[in-house]
Amino acid sequence: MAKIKMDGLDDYIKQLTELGESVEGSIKRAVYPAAGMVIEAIKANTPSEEGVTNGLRDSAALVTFRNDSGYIYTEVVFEGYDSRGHPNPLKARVLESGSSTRQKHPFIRPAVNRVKAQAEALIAAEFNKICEEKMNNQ
Amino acid sequence: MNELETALTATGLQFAHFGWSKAPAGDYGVYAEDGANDLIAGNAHTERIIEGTVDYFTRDADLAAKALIEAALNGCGAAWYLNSVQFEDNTGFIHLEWVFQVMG
Repeated sequence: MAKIKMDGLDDYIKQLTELGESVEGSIKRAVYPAAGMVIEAIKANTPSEEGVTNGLRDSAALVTFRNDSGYIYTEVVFEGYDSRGHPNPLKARVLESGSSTRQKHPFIRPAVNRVKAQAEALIAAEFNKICEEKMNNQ
Repeated sequence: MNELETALTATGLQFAHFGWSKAPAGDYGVYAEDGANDLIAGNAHTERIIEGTVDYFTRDADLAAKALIEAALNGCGAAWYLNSVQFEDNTGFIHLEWVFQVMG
């Protein structure tokens, strides 16, 4: 829990108002390192076989944060094409879910499951830190 | 997993565990474990949860098997969600994929 120092009720109300006004940016700052943790876990779990899935690992990227009805989202996507001209998003989809002609090799969901709790804890810790900074620097 | 296997078999649909050495004629399914989501408390795995997927490949656009499989998942006490429905234009199969969690 963030430790906040205040002197007087007027200052406290001002601090809370300013904190509320900057909350979207604060949440994005708090989510960013956790998103980094998740994408690194996915990359580490991405198969990398010469000629088959080469390039897929490096094609993973975070998309710009967006605010949808107060919820802050980002996504991990696979961008671009491999050296043979095959789209990386399609390759990731086929690996993750399989098809009637290819066995599946789930690598995204297991990676996310593995770091989910750590990422949530990191968001909470970062958000507390940011709130503490903002409230104590005003 | 035994309850899941029994429930899927009872649907009368063709299912194999982890995969088919040769895909059967007609519609068929595969179920497989791929991870865990154990409840950990007191430095111990107090509840073991197995996570995996059920995949079904069908050419029936009415998706009659979907209700059967979802009833089977409900019946065996699995927690589940339909993760994706994809059409394979090269084979004509509709690929349904569920993610499940069951007590291990």
